[in-house]
Amino acid sequence: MVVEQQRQTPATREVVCTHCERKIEIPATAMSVSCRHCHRRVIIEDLEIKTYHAVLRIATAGKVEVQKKGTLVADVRVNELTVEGSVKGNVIALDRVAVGKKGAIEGNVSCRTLAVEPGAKLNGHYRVDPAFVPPPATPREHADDEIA
Amino acid sequence: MIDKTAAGTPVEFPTVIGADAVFKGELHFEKGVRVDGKIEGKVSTKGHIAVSQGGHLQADVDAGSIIVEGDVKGNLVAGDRVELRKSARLKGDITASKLLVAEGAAFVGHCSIGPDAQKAPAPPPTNRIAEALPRK
Repeated sequence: MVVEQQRQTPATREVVCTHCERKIEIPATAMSVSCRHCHRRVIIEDLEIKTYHAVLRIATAGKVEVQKKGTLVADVRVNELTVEGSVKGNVIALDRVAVGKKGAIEGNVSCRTLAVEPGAKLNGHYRVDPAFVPPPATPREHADDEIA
Repeated sequence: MIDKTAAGTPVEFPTVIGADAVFKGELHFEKGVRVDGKIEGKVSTKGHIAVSQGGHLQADVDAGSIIVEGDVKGNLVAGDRVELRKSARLKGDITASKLLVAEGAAFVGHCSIGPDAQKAPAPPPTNRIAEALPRK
């Protein structure tokens, strides 16, 4: 009797490189990878901001969720941003920004889609365009200390 | 056709600007207006203004609440809320207590949203270099 060993192919997912904006396929559990197009380090990690968090910038190809008691002071470049707390800084989202009824964003926002619940506080310049192509990341954003 | 707010509250429009109508100038409405056609200039009302999917508004708007499904170029000031629905295209600034944006809406402009948004208008742009220089 021949026992066939079934090879389990590792689950993968597709993300967009935060530097060159091209799609890359990565293992589902990866936290950071090297982009095979631009060869730069791409952080994939999803972040939850539960308290006060102040850094120069956050760049991830994953999601960032600022929870009710969270305050994020940073320039943010993410795939998806959800704000239930408050964000101070400029936001570039490759996909979606959602602001809850108690959420607040103070800074400029560029994204493809924006969802705002009544009660949210927004102050800044907004560019919401389903065909939005984010500007290339500045050289400083290539630094490895993107998530502090 | 717009007949409800996003919250489901029915809205009535005593005035409807028809699809083949073009108005230029300053318009004031007591209760509310739905724009299926085109308005250029300035529009004000205490009630609702709705811009339907085929409607064009090239005007500064001051209203109780504003619902946009069509194209708007101009600044929007609403006492209560601004709703941008999925087919909305807006170029201009928004000042309102509440903002509702449906996914798919396109919007470029400054946004000042919150209960204090109308009390404290955005400060005019300042010359930072002049501010940094020592005063004589």
